[in-house]
Amino acid sequence: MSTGTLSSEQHVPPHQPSRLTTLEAGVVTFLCSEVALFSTLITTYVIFLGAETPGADPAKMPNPSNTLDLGLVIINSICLLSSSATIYLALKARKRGAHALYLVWFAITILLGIEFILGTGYEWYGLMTEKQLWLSTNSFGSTFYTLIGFHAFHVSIGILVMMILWGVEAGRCLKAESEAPELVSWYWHFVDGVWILIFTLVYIIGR
Amino acid sequence: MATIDSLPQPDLYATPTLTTRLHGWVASVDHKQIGIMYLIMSLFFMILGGLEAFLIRAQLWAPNNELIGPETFNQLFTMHGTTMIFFVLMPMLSGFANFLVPLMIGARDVAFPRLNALGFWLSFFGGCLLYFTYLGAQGLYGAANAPDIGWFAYAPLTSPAYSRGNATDYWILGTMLTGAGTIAFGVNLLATIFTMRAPGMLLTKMPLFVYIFMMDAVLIIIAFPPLTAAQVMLLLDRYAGAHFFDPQNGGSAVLWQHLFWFFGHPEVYILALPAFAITSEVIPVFARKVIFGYASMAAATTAIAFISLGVWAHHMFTVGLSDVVDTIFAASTFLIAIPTGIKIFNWTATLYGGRIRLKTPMLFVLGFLSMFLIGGLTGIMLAVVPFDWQVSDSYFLIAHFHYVLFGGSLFSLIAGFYYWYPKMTGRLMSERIGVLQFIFTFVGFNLLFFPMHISGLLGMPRRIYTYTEPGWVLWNQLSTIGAAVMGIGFLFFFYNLIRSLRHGEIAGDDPWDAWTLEWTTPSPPPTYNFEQIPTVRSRRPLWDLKHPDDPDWKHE
Repeated sequence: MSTGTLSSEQHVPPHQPSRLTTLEAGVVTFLCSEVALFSTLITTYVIFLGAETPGADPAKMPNPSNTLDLGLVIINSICLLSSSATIYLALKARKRGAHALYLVWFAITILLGIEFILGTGYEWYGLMTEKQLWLSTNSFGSTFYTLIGFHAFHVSIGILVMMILWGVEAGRCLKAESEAPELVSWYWHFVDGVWILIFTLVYIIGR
Repeated sequence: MATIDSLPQPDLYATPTLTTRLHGWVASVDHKQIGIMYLIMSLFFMILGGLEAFLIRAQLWAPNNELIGPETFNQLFTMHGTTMIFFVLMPMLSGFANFLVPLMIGARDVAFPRLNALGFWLSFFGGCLLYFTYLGAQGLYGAANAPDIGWFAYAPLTSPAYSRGNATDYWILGTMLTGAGTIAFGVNLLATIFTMRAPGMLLTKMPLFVYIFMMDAVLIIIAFPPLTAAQVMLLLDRYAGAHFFDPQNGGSAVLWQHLFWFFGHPEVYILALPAFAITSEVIPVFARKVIFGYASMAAATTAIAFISLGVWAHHMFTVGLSDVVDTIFAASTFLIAIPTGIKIFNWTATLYGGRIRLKTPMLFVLGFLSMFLIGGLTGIMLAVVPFDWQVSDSYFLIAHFHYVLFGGSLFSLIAGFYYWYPKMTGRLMSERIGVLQFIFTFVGFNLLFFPMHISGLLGMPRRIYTYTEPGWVLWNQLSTIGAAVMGIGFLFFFYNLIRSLRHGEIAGDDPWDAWTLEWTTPSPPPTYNFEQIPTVRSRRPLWDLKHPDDPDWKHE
């Protein structure tokens, strides 16, 4: 049976299944699943805020207010959030065809991301050595390292993907119409957005 | 100089060797082959899960039976539940969705074929990892060689103190891996449905099968990541000394229950919606009528999907959360009955006045309707908090969810096998064996699970490896006989599946005189599905094609 005859009638509605391209729809759906993941982690953090360890003196146990410092985190946050702006500028340059400028902005984005990871590592080093906060210390330690760690893991994946993309683009191996840079930037904006939420909850409200 | 002719010529018409054919399957990214592999995987694990269930029933045949020890019994029901949920029903629904959704929406493949293959292999190896526990879990501890924590793995049973060895880790990793594969499947399905529909197929003109699977994928996207997060926390608890679920150090055992059931309840609907999807295709075709109330059907599906995200704590009425929480979750659970009721009425209304053809797919769908109704009604009973306090964790509950997931989901999925087998293989399954299978499965099913309502009300708790109460004996023996009868039914099923591959009647493109796009393709469909992408103007494009004088789009 030929399927071609199905289209023999007139007045066929225009073919426009969706405003998103297939890849865009895939990335949006994937990011929705990430929202569900981070919602779980954030909820868990909030549930355990102020939870005490049975039999331990609460004053001597690490908690957000006696452990977390704003100083370094603010620098990290500024770096991560401004990287959202730089990746936006990078994509704008790409659309204009300014290849060199695009690569520069993209590289700056990657460097800002790396600063965030290194900064987080330094903060964790301080927490572990000076404040004696470990994953196993109490439920604050467990939830804090898990939440921040999951986020940092996502940032690292983003950096890795962006480095690969940068190399491919530097070698001009990607078609101009490729959606990859745009979609990577969606992921990056998402990771930054999650950080705004985490920063507000963990370092401001929860402290 | 050697000419082309003098070179050895490959024989293009020779049957490919087994290795070539296997390679064709293993390396495939074709949605139809991956769909069929999902189905084969689910049938394979169904044998394992079924044997485990049969051993459980054999042990419960008589009081003080010593066929199986308590440790093994715990492992059996854990593996049975985990297998049936994650490695039988999940891959079965993924298989049908993979094979059918692109065909039904007039697409040549899914959105991300390689991601699709990745999803399948993650699911499959997740199952292998779970079963590897029998070889690798014992470790140095002389500990249990299979998880014995129940399929919902409550804390603190999963803590290192109570779960030595690695069995629990195989459970965590196996289900986590298959969960990742399922999320990949969900992403793929949504992107396919959103962006790859044939010209003219608006969201409101999709077959209900596709619409319902779209909501199914939405649920997968929302429900599976929290499980993954919870499992990571559990691994951190077990191996890095974290204190998420460990009350002695400020953790919360109840948190695990919340996180697990926030996944676990939507999961029930993830498993039930595909049954609704298949039913919504089979009933109209075999009653020769348009589905009654397409719009209310779609709306009810959406309502079920979203309400199901807000009912999870009805699994936790006996925890002692608080009267307010219990009341809220009881109320939201009652709400579910409304859209589900709408569906049952719509299906019944479609049957009403139809010219019903009682072929095997229809038999199983009618079985689904009646069994699912019973499961739904006991579900409403269980939503009443005081009643739940009486029968929670008794055999009444076992009866309830087997009526939902087995009498409900699985019956409809078996109908799916009978209905689409000709499309997948080009041959019909035997009607005669099919009817025999239906009789044995239907009678066996009710003989197996109906007495559990009674033994549950008599007070028999779930998960006990033996009992002394003389009043429970009769009901348990009826159940075990039912299990054997149903086992015969499944032997017919497997025999029919294999036999019909070679000896089934040639099906042709459209053996059921159906109306959706998959039946416009040859059976089995070519790799590219459609020579020409069809244009759609109504919900029954094939009806339009068959009846140019009275097409559906004039009436919709």
